[in-house]
Amino acid sequence: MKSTFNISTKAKLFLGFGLIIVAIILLSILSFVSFNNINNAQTGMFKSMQMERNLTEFKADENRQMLTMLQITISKDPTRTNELKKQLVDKAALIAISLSLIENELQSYPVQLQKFNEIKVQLKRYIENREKRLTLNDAGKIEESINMAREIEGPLYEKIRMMILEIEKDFSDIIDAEKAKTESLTQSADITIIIGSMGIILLSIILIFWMIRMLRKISVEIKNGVNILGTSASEILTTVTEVSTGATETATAISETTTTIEEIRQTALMASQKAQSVLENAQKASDAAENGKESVQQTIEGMNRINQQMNLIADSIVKLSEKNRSIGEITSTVNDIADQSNLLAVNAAIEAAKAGEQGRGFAVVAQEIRNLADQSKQATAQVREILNDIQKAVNLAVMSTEQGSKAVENGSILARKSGEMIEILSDTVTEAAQSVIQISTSSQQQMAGMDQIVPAMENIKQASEQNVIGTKQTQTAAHNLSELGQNLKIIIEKFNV
Amino acid sequence: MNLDQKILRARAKEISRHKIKQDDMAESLSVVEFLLIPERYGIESKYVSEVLSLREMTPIPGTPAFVAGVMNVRGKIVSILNLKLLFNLKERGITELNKIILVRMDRMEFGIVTDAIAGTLKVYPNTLSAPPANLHGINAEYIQGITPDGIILLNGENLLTNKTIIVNQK
Repeated sequence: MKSTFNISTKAKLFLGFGLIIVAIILLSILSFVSFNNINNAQTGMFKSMQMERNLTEFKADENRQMLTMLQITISKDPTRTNELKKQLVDKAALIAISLSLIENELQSYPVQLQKFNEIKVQLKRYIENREKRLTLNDAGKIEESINMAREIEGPLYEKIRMMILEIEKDFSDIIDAEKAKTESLTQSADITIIIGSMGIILLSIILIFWMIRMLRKISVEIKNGVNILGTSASEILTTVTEVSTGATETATAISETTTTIEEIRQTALMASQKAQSVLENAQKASDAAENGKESVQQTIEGMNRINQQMNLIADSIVKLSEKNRSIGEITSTVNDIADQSNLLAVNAAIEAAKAGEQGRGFAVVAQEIRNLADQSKQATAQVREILNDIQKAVNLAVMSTEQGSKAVENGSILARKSGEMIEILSDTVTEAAQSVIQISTSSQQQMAGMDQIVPAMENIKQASEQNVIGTKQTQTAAHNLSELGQNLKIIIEKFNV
Repeated sequence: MNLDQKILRARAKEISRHKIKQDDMAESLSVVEFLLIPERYGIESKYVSEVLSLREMTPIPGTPAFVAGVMNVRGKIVSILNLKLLFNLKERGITELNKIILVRMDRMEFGIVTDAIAGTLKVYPNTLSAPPANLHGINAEYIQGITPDGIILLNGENLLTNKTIIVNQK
């Protein structure tokens, strides 16, 4: 039902009951109309009957007038006659009033009114006749009056009576018609009321069944809802318990965090101090780098000087080598001389030997010369060795100077490189100093932030404590909710639809 | 013992040795010692006219291999022999460092190429030992004997009179 018509239960109830009320109102209106019709018909009938009775009364009055006239005619006693005459006049006045009344009432019946007008004309003639007779009677001509009565009054009266009867008959017909109409109306009203009542009863029954169905549906839904409520309440309870434990953990975590923040604060402070000292060190390093740069410059200059010295040394060594060579030449000359001397000594010895005994002294001299030559040879050999050693040493020195020159060159390059390195180092140190300044400011900011965090943590702590209280309240609320669900279940069981 | 005493002692020893040599001088031979590396040779001084350095030696074509060339010695043309080739020793080439011994007997005179002149010495003939029988290469007739020092003493007379070393002039 919910899926087909998206109408609220309230609207449905209003609609149902409204339908019944409308039906009842309709039935009431129908009944009222029917009864009104019946009433109208009956009123018409009653009126017609009244008219009939009036006409009958009028007829009777006329009859009585005729009788009175007859009595007047017959009576001999004058008092009596006067009395009768008075009676007649009074009656005539009454009849006139009643006639006007009838005429009034006959306004709604035109046919009958015409007839009545004719009656009135006839009645007028009749009344004139009667006046005439009265005058005759007064004159004492009774016979004549009787004749008149017999000849004129009788047929006139008869005529009027017939006409009235005719009208009466008309009204009788009207009454019959009205009667039939009333009967038919009553019958139709009965049928209408019965059908309407039946319809209302049927509608009510349908409405009751529909409402029962709706209520059952609602109760089923409520039951489901209550079940869901129960499970939800238990879930809420567990969740709240978890939240409670979580809140407790949060509280401990907050206290830990607070201590950690204090540590961080200390660390930040330390970092700030360290940064300060690093800054000082960086300044020192920068100064040292400046000094190093100067030293490197000096080193390069020193290297250049060494290079010059090395070049001088190399030149000196080359000269030394040349001198050495000339010494070698000289020594070889000396050696040659020694050689020649040796040969001479040998020749002398040979000659001495040839001279025999006389040459013995010469032989000794020759031997001495030979010894001298040998010694000078040995000396030149030694000199040569020394010269060789010197040459080797010179060569070594040349190599060494070359290596030294190269080393100096390398040293120069290295010094230049180290200078560049020192410059880079200086730049780096400067950058590091700037970084350290930034670190220092950021650590100070950090400290300030930590100072802000501490009260924030306090707030969080309070909030978490409130949270714990709130979760406890939520727990009881969840309990209550669970109980409420249970109660609702019992109530629904009780009002089982 | 200090250094002076040592020197004095060595000197005393030297002097005493010379005395012994001087005593036997009458019976000794004066010998010029020279080197034909690796061996030491000697020749009697009486066959030696002169020792001199090798100067401007001119090789002579068409002569035997042991004739190294000819040399001008103070206006005198002297042929030079290479004893190494004659004695089948290993030849090491001739340079100006080589010395020449001019040997002479009667009219025969020529030079001998030596590696070095060692000097003169006295040799006692009774101390000479005969050349060993297995001495190959060197003709035994050129050798007079071997001194106790191991010097091969050449027979100068045989060397100078040997016909094999005279180049035929035909």
